[in-house]
Amino acid sequence: MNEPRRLNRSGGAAQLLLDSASLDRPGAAARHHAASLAATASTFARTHSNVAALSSRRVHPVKTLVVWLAVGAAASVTLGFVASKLLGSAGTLSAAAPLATLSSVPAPPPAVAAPDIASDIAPEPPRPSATLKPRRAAPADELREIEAARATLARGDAARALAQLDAYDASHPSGHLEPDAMALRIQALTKSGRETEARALTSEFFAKYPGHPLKR
Amino acid sequence: MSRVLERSFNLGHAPVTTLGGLDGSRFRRVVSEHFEVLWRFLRRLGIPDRDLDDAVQEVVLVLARKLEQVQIGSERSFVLSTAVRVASGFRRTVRNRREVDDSELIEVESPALGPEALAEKQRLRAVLQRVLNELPLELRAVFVLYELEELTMAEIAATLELPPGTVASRLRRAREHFELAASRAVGELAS
Repeated sequence: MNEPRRLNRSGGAAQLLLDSASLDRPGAAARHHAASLAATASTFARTHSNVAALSSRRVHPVKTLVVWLAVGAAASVTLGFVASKLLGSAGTLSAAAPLATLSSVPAPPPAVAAPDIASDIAPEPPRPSATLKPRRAAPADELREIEAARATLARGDAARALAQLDAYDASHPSGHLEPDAMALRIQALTKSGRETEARALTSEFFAKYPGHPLKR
Repeated sequence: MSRVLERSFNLGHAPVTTLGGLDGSRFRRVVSEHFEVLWRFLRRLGIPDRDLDDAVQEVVLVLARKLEQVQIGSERSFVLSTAVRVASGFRRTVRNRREVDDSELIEVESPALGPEALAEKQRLRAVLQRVLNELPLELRAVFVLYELEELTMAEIAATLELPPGTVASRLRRAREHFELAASRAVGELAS
């Protein structure tokens, strides 16, 4: 085929405009969102392959994710996302560090040639606060507790993570991050080999959150 | 992984497949390798920033469902063509909701540029999106793939499953429109 010369080498107005597209680089929050999603699906495929299913119908993507796919790791998406918005909107430079922890789903270890988005990309500074729209108001203390439990679980200490989740449930009887806590608990139970309890809680999760309000 | 999207049960009339056959490590690798191009492409297709995460997610979910049917080496094509379909659905939704608001482009930090140069570039980026959005999606997809993603016309034809002649004519029309609109828009900016 005869390839015309690309306009971004043409000089002039067209090039000027096209050059500005080099600004299009996903921020840390978007990367973590995608990484969490990939990790979630992988985890799910391993641990819950026969419990839930993914509808082949084109339905609401977020509902599809949470109801059919996420189960054990729903929190990673929700929390990573919410946290990134919140931390970002607070304008703290510490956002990058906790985010890395928040989004590190205890997924199956990636294959040798499978770098994780979350780990192979240098953290970027948070976006300017004006552009951020927090979707849900989860108080910072709740966020910290859930984040701590997630970090513990990511280190492999499921028992301690369960204790932290117990503490969270006790101090926030109807916390904003209850679904996240529940999903983490499912993961922790699975990791501890308590499959029956994990499955029971999974059913409960489905019943309780048929349309998890991930989407604003 | 042995099972190919094993059909497990039906929910009403909707066929449901399990994710049991998903090759997790390949999936993670594909998402990791193609995330950036996917995000960028969806944005350049005109998905407003507030919907970008959802659009990315939708493409990734389609990928999870169909990964085993995607040949090794065709992953990028699959991701890009799915992105066009998803963008088409999103645009309809957005249009129903309200007009695309291109003032919501993400403020990207770019340490290499000074604040003024950055602000200027961001203005141009917003204009770029306005000009791109004037193109119908089928022209815009071809144009963005050629001019911004720098695919060859043959690659575009394969990706979008279009005859080469169609790609050539869409690209020609898109370029004609874009060059005119770009001159006009940049002229307005300068005046």
